This record gives sequence, structure tokens and C-alpha cells, in this order.
Amino acid sequence: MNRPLPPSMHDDVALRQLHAQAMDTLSPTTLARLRSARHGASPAKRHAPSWWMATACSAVVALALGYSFLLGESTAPPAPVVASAADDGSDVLDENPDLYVWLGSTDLAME
Amino acid sequence: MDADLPAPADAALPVSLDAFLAGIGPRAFRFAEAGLRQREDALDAVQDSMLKMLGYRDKPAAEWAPLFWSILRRRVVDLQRRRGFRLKFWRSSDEAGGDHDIDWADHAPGPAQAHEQRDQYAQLVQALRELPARQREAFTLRVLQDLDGATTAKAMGCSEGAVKTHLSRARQALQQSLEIAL
Repeated sequence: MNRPLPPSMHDDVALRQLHAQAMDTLSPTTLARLRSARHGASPAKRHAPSWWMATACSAVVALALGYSFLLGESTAPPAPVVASAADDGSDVLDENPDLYVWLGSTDLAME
Repeated sequence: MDADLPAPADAALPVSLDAFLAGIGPRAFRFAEAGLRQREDALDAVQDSMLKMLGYRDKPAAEWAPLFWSILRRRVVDLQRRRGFRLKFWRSSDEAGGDHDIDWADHAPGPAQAHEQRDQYAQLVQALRELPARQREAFTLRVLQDLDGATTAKAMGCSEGAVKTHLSRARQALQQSLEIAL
């Protein structure tokens, strides 16, 4: 089978005709990719702002967490209960039945 | 030689950047296809160039064409370098299998005519891929894309004289390459 003769490299008109034919014969897949590339480059369809929004939300959450953590640390610890001279200790135990519940739930009381 | 070239195709200015990109897409793909050996690489180069053009949408429409071709030209060179590195160190079996054939969907009236056109264009692209980058760029932009001398020079980042030199060498090399291939 004979190969077709290529156009002369000095015949610009024939070369451009061949190139024009080549542009008319792009496959549908390639044309679809080119369309999506163009739409991707469209300013209205760019999604860059959503990344900024996500970054900003993450920063706000992180700041809120940090601030609440600092607040928790800075508040003064509750003042220790200072037993007064009138307290004899048994009152504390009487007022705190959880101790007996705990004792009852363990084997310590039986030892 | 260049004196008998007709008026450039980019004479009519596009009304918007979107219209400009719509018109230039297939031409840009054929340009990238002649420089790169993989269809996906060529499509990536075109897409990246279109995205980059967004940064220049405030420029006058007359400047879009040289800017776009300049961006695409550099992107093709980048991808060629990256691909050369990939081939050297991580050459996979499918990459070693050879160049991508040209993208071609037959719309010609007869199968014989379609086959002939496809074969002619494939020979031309194959010969273009063998050229040094600057010669290929000069020939593709000046002759196939039909840009005028000044626009081609801007896109290539050189003088019009240098474009003429590259173009003349490209014609000689292509003619020899195609004669040998016959």
C-alpha cells in the first residue's frame, strides 16, 4: 500500500488546510475534556472561596477551643474546705453518704 | 518566504476570555500534542494554561493570544522535562511502548480520504516531534497556527529575526525528515 505524499514544507496553504482538517477531527472525548477545561477555567465556577471558608471555620473552632481551655485554667480553683475547730470529722462523714455506698460496694469493708 | 503568508487568524478580537478560550482550545491541543507524546499530558498542558489565563483577564484582548501561546509553550516544555525525568528513572512498561498516536475521529466523506488525511497529519506530527523545541514552536505557531511574526516572537520570547531563523531551519529539517520517511 502506498503512503500518501505529505504536503511540501514550503506550501503553507496546504499545511494549514491539513491542520484545519486535523482540528475538525478531534475525538469527542478530547473535545469534552477541552470543554471541561474551559469551564474549569471559568471564574464563576472556580471553587477557591470554599477552601477559604473551610480554613476560616477551622481557625474559628480552634480559637474557640483554645480560649475555652485558657478560661478553664485561669479560673481560681475552689477554696479548700478548712475544717473548723467545731468540726470533728464525723459530721463530714455523716453528711457524705457516698462514702458508705462506696464502702459497701467493695470488699474492703469485709476485711 | 514569510512575506507571502496571509493575514493572521487572530485579527478579530474575542469579546470575552471565555470566547477566546473556546476558540483556541482545539488549536492549543494540537500544538501541545505535537510537542508532547501523551494525549493526557497535552490535555493537562492546555487546561493548566487556560487556568493561568484567568490571571490575565483584565489585560486587553489583543494581548491574550501571545500570552496564551507563551504560557502553553512554557507548560509544554515543563511537561517534556518532567516526562524525560520520569522516563529515565521510573520508566514503566506502558510508557516504554512508544508514542501516543494522534487523536483523530473520522468525519471525512469516504474512508479512503479520511485515512489519507490522517496518515498525512500523523507523518507531519511525527516529524515535528523530532525537531528541537524552538524550531517546532516557530513552525507550529507561525505556519500551522497562522500567527503573525510579531505575535509569534512575543509568544516565543525572542525577536522576529530569531523566529525566521528557527522557521527556516524547521522547514529544512521537516522536508528532509519526511523525504526519508517515504
